[in-house]
Formats: sequence, C-alpha cells, structure tokens
Amino acid sequence: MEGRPLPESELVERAKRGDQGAYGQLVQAYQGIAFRTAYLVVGDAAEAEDAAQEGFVKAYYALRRFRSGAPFRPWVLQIVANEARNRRRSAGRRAGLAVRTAAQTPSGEAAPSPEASLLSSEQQRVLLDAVNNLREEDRLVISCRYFLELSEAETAEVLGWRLGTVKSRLSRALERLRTEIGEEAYV
Amino acid sequence: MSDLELALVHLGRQLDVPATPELAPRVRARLADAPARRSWVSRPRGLAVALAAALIVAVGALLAVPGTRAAILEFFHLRGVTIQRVDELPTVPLQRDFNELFLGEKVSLDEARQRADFDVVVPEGLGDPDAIYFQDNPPGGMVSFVYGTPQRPRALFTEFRATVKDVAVKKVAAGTHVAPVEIDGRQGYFLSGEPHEFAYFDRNGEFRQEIVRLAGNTLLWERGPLTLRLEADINREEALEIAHSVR
Repeated sequence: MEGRPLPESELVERAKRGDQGAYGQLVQAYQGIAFRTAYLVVGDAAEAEDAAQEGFVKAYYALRRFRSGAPFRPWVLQIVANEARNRRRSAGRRAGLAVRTAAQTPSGEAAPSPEASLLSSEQQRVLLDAVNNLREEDRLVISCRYFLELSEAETAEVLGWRLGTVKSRLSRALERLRTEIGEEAYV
Repeated sequence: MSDLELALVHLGRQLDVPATPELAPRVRARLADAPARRSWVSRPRGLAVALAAALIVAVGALLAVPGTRAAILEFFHLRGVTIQRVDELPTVPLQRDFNELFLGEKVSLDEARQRADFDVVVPEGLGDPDAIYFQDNPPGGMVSFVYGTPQRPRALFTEFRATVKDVAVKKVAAGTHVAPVEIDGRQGYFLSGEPHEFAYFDRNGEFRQEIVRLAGNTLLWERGPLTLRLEADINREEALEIAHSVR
C-alpha cells in the first residue's frame, strides 16, 4: 500500500466506477467550499449543511455525466448551488451575511492580507449591507466571484450561466454597489 | 482588479461563515445505504429510469436500421431527459441520479386515453397491466404499460406517436440481432442478443452514446401513426403473437 494521495482525476474515475471510498476523498477535499457556497446562497447553517450533503449525494449519482478530465470543483459546486437555491426558494426570506467579530476570528488565521487596510470596519459594514440588498442574481454572481474567489469561467459553470452573462451581470452588480456605497458615504 | 473588487475579496474572507460540518462520512453512509433502499417497490423513479433506459436501448439499436430511423428520432428529442448507465435490465439496483428522468406519472387507462392525443391501444395478449404511465413527451404523449411485479416486471409495452427528425446514426454491437418482421402489413424489428450501443440526446441537447445490456428481447413496430414497443423475456414468435393481440 502506498500512501501517496491519488490525483483528483484518478479519484473521479474510480468514483465513476462505483468506488465510494474514492468519492469520499473528493467530498473531503471539497466539503469546505461546498458548504460555504451553500451558506452564501441560503444564509442558514443547517440548510447549507443539508444542501451540501444532498448535493454531494446527487453528484455521485450524476457522475456519468461528468466529462473526464474536466475540473471537478465547479461541476460539483454547481450541483450544490442548485440544491441550495431550491431550498432558498422554498425558505422565503434569507438572512443577510454578516462579518466575523474579532472574537470569532480563528487564532490560526493568516496575517492580514495587503488589502486588509482597504476598508474601515464601518466601510465594510456599508459594503456588506449593499451586497445584502442586491437582487438575488447580482448577489449570487458577487458571492461566487469574490466571496468564493472563483474565476469567471467557474462562476459561469456554478451558476449555469454563459460566460458573457457572468461578465455583464458582474459589471452591473459592481456598478450598483458603487452607486450604493457612494450614496451611503455622503448621507 | 479594482479597489472595489479587492474590497469584496477581503470582505469575503471576513464573513461570518459557520465552521464546515464533517460531510464526508455522512455522504458515504448515504451512498452505502442507497442500493438496498433502491428497490422498484420503494423508488418509483428507479422503475421509471429502468423503463426509459430499456426504451432507449431499443430505439438506439433501431437507429442502425434505415427503414425506421425517421419513425424513432423525434422521440430522442425528449427534453429534460438524462439517461444514466444501466448495467442490466430490469432488476439490478440502479445507482444513478434518477431525479431528472422519468417515464411519466402513474395513471389509469381512462386518464391515459384522455391525455394522449392518439387512440391508446392495448396488447390484450398480456392481460391487464399492473401499472400505466403517461408522459407529455414526445409531443402527443407517451403511454407505457408495465406487467408483473415492480421487482420482476414480465413485460413493458410502450406507445407514442412518431414524427420525423434528422439525426446522426449510431451502430449496433456486433452480437445484437436485428430481425425485420412484418405485423399486419407494417414494418417492425425484433431485437435480441448482445448489448446494444444506443444514442440519445441529454437534457442539454447533447448527443451521447452508451452501451447497455438488455435483459429482455424487444419488438418494435409501427401501427397507424404510432410506434409501439414491447420488451419482455420472450422469443420472436411469442412477441409477434402479443403484437397481433394489440387492440
């Protein structure tokens, strides 16, 4: 037995052949971002947990549709995001996102990145309020692109939109945010 | 990236997202648990997928036969259908996602007659069906009769109105026998033997092909505006006898 981890493509191929252990390793690798994706959509921990779990189960049974060699992450995130969006629709109003307080910041957290000084906490609150107030599709595209830090192509796959649609909605959403922040700043 | 975009990335890293729950063991437990629960009794979708896959197998095999190509192809244009691999029909547990595929809803014969835009015919030689399904696609509807128990269906009979649509042709595996037959003066084919390669359109309109093994033999034929299909563990003579009993 060798202990070297298998490459993702090999895990996917094994999972396709029914190897649930290999699939478990894929779940392990992506459960963090999957849960985060679901949480950004539904805004509720329990719902997000259910959506992510259900998404992984559905993805397993849909593996035959997965094109070998394609990146697994956006593919599985799309299924999780769909699951979360369905729950969100039936759940009604979604809770807004919040910023961690100092007490919640894990002690092992990396040093603040260069952009940490970009916004004061007040500006951060204003920006988050503006994001929370965006219409659903704008908020989704902002969440995928910046909060999940997905590429535009990944964002397109996860949301099931064309790349051109992602680009135009992104630019529209940024414009709305600029308008809102600008106005807020001068109130 | 603009300042605003950088600010958003930074904001994202500061978001109060609860700790990730340990999903892997639970997902694995769900998967390990699944085949046992996925019997035809408790999972009607499993039945539907098996039936639909069986139908597609036969249709795909028929694609290699120029005479009836046009009659079958519109059926492949079913929207919203994704066919998954089925190792063996019809009793092996299906470990695939059935959510996007269904043969329709369970209906009574009267209901099927009301909803289909054609005169529904019944193979009297098979006796009373144990379940009837109707679905809206292809246009005009498709009616399916299932005979036997859910765990061990004896036969499946399906009817739909066929229309012409052009598409690529797929080949049949070498060991598959496709025998032309004549039923009431109309063309038909009896399919038996080795696994068939079949082709279909998935829900994205993408053309795909897969290999499936057929548990039973299949008779496909035309009657009036309809294309009829019978699958059962029967030989050619028995199949023809049932076909002649269609009223």
